[in-house]
Amino acid sequence: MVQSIYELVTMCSVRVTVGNAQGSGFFVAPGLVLTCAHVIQSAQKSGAPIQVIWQGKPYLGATYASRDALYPDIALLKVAISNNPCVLLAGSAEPFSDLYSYGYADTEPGGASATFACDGWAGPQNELVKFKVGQVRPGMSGSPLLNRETGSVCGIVQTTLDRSSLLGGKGLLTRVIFREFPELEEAQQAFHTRDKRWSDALTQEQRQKLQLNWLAAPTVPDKLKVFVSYSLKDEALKEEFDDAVVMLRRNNLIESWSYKDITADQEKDVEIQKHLDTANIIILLVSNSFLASNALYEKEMTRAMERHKAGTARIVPIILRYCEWRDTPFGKLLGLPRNGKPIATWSNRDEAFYEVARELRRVVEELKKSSPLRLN
Amino acid sequence: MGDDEGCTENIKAVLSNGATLHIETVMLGGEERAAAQGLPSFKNVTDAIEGIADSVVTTLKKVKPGAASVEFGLEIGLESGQLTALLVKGTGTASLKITLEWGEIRAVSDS
Repeated sequence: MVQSIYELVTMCSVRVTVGNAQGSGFFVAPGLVLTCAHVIQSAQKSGAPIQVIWQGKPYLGATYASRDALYPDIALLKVAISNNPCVLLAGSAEPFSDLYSYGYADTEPGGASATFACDGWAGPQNELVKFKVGQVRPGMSGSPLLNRETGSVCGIVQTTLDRSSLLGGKGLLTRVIFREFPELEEAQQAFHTRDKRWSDALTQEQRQKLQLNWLAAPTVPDKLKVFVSYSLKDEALKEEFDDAVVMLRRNNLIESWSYKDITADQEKDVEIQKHLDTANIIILLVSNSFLASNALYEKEMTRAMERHKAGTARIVPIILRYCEWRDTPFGKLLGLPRNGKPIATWSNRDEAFYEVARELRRVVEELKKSSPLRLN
Repeated sequence: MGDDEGCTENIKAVLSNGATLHIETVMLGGEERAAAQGLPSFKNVTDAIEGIADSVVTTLKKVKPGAASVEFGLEIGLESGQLTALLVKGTGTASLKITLEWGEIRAVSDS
């Protein structure tokens, strides 16, 4: 499954409990969790066991390294897990950066997302980052701070400025984490060179901002995967569309899939979900029948929009018949044909599909050039 | 949330005998480290009551009135994760209303 960076952050996050104390943490290397020293402080005093809960399962954690709980207040925990994903620790945050975090607040023991606006640097030698417009509840200590612009984790949450309001809090910047635990740099490079999930989820802009020369080049798929979402009532037009893009297929630029390709031994919902989650381009063949179908509109289109917004897939609406598609969530996207005239109403339909195919070729070439997408 | 009335939340706290109770608490904010540290202790509040009573008694011993009665009200607040007592004007909204009474102070000191 192609994952967005935000999905990867949640997959890397863990809950840390020591007696009554609860906090968060995240994987920075295989079997190595970064958290705040004050979260595990009572373990060091009383010898209470450290529990690390990852994806609902508890594991025993051991203190691998720990720094002063007052400052810099970070610790590494060793856990008997080796197949975990790791965040990309890199970059910093600037004033006005958008930050994303995932942690285990006392009010959300199952884990929850939070977003913040970055104020800028704070504390001794500007080693902290201060952020606001988001609630930092007790329990969120040790959560990662992802900078949306760089697509990397730029710090770790440490304090709240007010547990019951949106005043936000403060975190320690990644450069201090590397200074305190220099062995992490090598571990990070080794992991992200081997496991390309995170590096493939980065956009071209994020790569440019990060300037990590060791970061693997994005995996560019030979053939882009195209998912065609359409109503059975538009079967005839769908076939015409398939014929129109035949040269894209013959030139090995795309491979297209629609639910007609499900074989008798496959489970329909599972297959649709799988192809929808791995497609690079999602074509919506739009008509009233499309808009009226719950399966298409509520399930396929909703998931497609999520992936479009996350930047892991591109939606291309192709307007077959007159309908109120501008009022849909994808109504702001550029629909094809460009002149807005639905394909069924063209006197020369070949010309309409020719234009669609040319535009699609342009999208394919653009994606292949700057592709953050990957072949699964 | 007005200027003179902070927002309140029900906070669970633990008493000295280990029993827990929910307290309507004025949220006073304040920076704190963002680990959840179990339930806050009620001891800060009882310490405050002790401290206030102690201060009043010390003063009364100096003044030596024939009889005295002192009434005060406390609200409970949460600041930087710790319970704290707020001495409030009037006892109408107080969570705790405490009346201290003395008699015969002069008689004791005069004899």
